[in-house]
Amino acid sequence: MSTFNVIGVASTGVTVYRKWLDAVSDNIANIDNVSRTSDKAFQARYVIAQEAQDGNGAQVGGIALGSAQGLLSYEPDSPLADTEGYVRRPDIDLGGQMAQLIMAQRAYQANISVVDRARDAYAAAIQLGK
Amino acid sequence: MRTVVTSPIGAISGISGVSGLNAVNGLGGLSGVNGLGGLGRAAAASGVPAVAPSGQSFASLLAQGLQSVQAAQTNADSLAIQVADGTLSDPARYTMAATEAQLGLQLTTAIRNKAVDAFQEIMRMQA
Repeated sequence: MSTFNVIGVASTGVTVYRKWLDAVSDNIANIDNVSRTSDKAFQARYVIAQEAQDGNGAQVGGIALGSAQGLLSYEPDSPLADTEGYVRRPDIDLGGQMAQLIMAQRAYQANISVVDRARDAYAAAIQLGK
Repeated sequence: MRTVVTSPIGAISGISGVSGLNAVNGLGGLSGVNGLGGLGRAAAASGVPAVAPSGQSFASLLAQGLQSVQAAQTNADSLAIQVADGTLSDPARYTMAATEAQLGLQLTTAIRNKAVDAFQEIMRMQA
């Protein structure tokens, strides 16, 4: 708790959604990774958002990982293909990631808007005392 | 508004009966100092008698408030350095810290101006 608490609370939301944006960008950056069938596929990152422990705002509780199995893809020409011609690709849906990207971006902006309005409100309160 | 913060006025005990002093609204504005340090909020709300000594003088409250503002400024400064050397993870962190520091400084100056106004108002009574 501080004098300008709203700004602190909104900043926790901003941090959570920034990490979500980080996770989505990580997933999209690695969406075309190819690995051997003996190795793990790239595991999608999912942010676990939860209420902050001190009750002020939100926090990232951890990162959940997607399937390590990924999707088996038949690409006999790939140098990484196994004897049967298969490789692993990450089990990530680009459409789903883009939807998450929009949600995270809009929520980030919403939290910034809260800061903006709170600043105006606090400034008006201070103006009253002048 | 009867808070412990009005004690500078209370010190002029000879004229404490003049109810007009309570009308110096500027002193009411001083109670914002309680919020600055995030302390004494409960004490201000629970209607402490105006002259009761609570161990928290106006000067110490003001000092704590200034320290809180100083901490916000220091935080904003360190984030500004992170902007400069490229280690800042999120630009919003800096802008929000700067906003908070700026608001804190504005509040401090508003309180300071009110305190000076109150002092001058009292000095004017001699004339």
